[in-house]
Amino acid sequence: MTEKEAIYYELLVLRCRQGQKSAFEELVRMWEQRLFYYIRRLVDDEQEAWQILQEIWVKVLRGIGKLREPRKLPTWLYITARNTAISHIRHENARQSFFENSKNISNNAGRDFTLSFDDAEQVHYGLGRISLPHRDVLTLFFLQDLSAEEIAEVLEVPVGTVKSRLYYARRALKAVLEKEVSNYE
Amino acid sequence: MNESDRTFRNKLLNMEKTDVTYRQRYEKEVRAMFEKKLSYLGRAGFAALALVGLLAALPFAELTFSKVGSGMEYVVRIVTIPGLVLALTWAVVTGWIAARGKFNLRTMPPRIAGIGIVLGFFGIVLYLFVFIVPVTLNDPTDVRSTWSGVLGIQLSLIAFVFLVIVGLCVVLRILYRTQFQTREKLLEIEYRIAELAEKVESKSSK
Repeated sequence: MTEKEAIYYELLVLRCRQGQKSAFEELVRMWEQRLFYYIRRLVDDEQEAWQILQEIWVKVLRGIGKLREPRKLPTWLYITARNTAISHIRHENARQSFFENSKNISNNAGRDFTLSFDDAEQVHYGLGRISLPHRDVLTLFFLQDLSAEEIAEVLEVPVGTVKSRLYYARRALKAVLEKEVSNYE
Repeated sequence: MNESDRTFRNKLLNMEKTDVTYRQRYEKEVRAMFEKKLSYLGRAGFAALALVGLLAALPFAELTFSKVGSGMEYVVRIVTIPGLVLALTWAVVTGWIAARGKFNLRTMPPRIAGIGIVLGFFGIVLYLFVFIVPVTLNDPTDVRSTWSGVLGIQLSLIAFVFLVIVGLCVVLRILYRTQFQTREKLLEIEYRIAELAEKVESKSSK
């Protein structure tokens, strides 16, 4: 995040706290597509994803006054989005498997996590075909709003774990795309 | 984030195809988030409040437009004119909410509370000036004047409390507003500086 963006977020939060409807509308307009994309990667059903997004805005509207660091608005939004989505998943008894899967891939810190995927269509396709924990971390990475440290904050894991998850997620994505290419050929 | 990153992200976001019906429903719900839809009972409640406002406006209006007497016209009118305006504002605001059937959750409660407190203050002051003070002044030996005097003191105290609350609210609101405006201006300046710095940086890198 650049300094300009950080200042802009603080300004936006300040105006939202003042109850300025236009500021909140701006916040929604600015973030809804990104948050929806992220939620959609976590939740299969589109209708449910819209419902979650709506719940997120209710939480944001209530909680923005208590946000301690306005410059960390993106992190807070993704945390709110993830928690809301997880509580929906939990509601459908899927949370258990979600975390079991994440344990299996979380213990390889320190790997290189530089990604070189540049075809958005392929990435979008591949994201839909990898496991949920891989999708979770990789979507946050591809949306490019957060640093590795901030992703770690959203996922509630150490930075090293984020890097290792990204490494394995990238491998999984590559495998899916390569398989798809070989099938096509 | 550089331009190519942004382009990639936008491309990725545009890959997501959504159902128009779901989207429209979501947009409707988000719009409704700011406003609470009132039930018939809620609307009736607000209509009753509007009626109370109109009823409260009657004595204020009567005293504003009639000759008060005993040389207190100006003092009384200091109270009755703002009282009338506030009572009518109250009636208009609550009547408008009842007619619309929607209630803005963020802006309306503090406004209604503010008007209510100030209106209450003027009501008490009006009662004091018009009904209590004249009786006490006209015939100090009358037993009613003693009761009126006691009631007058009590009402004066209540009015004083109202006044203090209103004053405190106004002062806090002004302080908060000033603090907000100062911070907003500072951030706007900081934002412009950051914007300029970015431009200079991109020019020098070229």
